[in-house]
Amino acid sequence: MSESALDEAWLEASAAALGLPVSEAWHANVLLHARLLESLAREFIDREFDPELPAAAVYRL
Amino acid sequence: MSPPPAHTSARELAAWVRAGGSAEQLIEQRYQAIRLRDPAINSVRQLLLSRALARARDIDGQVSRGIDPGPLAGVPFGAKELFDVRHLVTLAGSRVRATAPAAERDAAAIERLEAAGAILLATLNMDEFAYGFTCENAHYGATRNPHDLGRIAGGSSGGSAAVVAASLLPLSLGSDTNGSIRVPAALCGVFGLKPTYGRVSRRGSFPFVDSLDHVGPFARNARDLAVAFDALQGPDSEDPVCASRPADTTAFALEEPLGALRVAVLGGWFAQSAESGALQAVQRVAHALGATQTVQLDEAGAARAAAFCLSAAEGGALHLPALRRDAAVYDPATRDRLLAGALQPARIITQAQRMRRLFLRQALQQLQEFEVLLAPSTPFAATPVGEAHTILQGQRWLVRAGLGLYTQPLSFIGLPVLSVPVVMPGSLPLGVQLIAAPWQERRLLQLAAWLEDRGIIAAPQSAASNG
Repeated sequence: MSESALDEAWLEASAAALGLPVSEAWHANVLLHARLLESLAREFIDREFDPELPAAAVYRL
Repeated sequence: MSPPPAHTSARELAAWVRAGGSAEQLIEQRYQAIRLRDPAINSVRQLLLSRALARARDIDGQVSRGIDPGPLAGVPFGAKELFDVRHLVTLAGSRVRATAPAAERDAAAIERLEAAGAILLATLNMDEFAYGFTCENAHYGATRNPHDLGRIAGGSSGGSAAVVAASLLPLSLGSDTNGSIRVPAALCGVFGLKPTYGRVSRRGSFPFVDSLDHVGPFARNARDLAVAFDALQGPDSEDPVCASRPADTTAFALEEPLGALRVAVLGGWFAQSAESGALQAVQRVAHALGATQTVQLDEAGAARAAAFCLSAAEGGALHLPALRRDAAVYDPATRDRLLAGALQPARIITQAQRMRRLFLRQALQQLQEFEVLLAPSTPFAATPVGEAHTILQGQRWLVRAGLGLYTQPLSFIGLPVLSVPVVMPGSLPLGVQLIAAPWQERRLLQLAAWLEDRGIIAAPQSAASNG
């Protein structure tokens, strides 16, 4: 399976799991943005952070 | 006694009303000016004339009875279309919410400005659901830059910046998640304050990314901005994010001596990829302050990446029910990014939040040594409407993403940041970010007033404001 076919399969399966109606006409753009997010996430997604750094969304300065 | 001309400051307008000038006439004058001149700019979404006139008559009545209506007596203002306005549907720049119920009360920020005597006259254009930096709205059209109508105003609070830049209104309200106050303020040549996260209540504003959303004001000068900020700030038990710390009034401090101030320029991430004019604007401010040191925030690039991903993922999660129902109604540029965001794993959010703490720790260390840091607001000036890419130092950038390069890392950690318009004769407007430690808005406003008094920064008059 080619990389683009894998991406297509991922998009269809993920969208179906979430109940999102992703029209085929939108696939190319949604995948473009998903790849951009994936490349940016590489900068922090697998980092080992100090365990004292909390992941809470709302914080007090 | 005719109302004062368009460029009059909010404070002077309030003084005129408090001295017996008619707020009702002032509202009529501004309403006519918007009707005449805004069609070319497209900053206004709805004019609220009946409501504004009723309020103006009330203000005039107070003055005639010897009651002081407040420091913004009779001053007309506009609010980005994501703030609740009683009896109106909060569209947030989208058709998706067209059938939502009307708001039952005004947003806290509107209530607070009106409690200080101001009068809401207009709702203002924005990127759909605040997800953008250009204010090119597929449903309601692009807001155009009053300094060059062929160019963007910046976004997402583009209407809020443009209406002030065109001197149609002296004050406006916007929101800033990744730069949505600072980017349009810079491109339109006005002052825009993103307060500390939790300083101003967000109650009644349509959210985008709950852990990043801020509310703040726009104005044509630092002193008007301070008066508006003073009216806005303070605890609100109805917003769980709003801090309980008491308001720290600023306006009086702008007349006090600035005193010694330790200032440094941000290098590294904040100096890469910028056009020369953006860096010259920073140097102009630095030179005026005698700031010779450059410091770096090493994790700024990763922080920007985390803010970008967090926005997509949190925004996607927020919109999931509406996307299931009405995806085809969204602006395609918004929809595709929200869909991609909705499909991200939860780990992206938890890791981004940890990245935020790490970067905050690093920034606070620098802010112990320097009270104020300087950085460009945007890497480039306003681009032509409809232009998707721009070239910077030989590299091709998406305009929509590139405009937030220098604002995103800072809103990510909630610091107060004031974007000020730097006087650069012959060029399109450019802004510089004045950045301080949490809760130090007063110091930023003091510094902005000092720079303004020396002619280093000023809101230029726009071609579109002559009429």
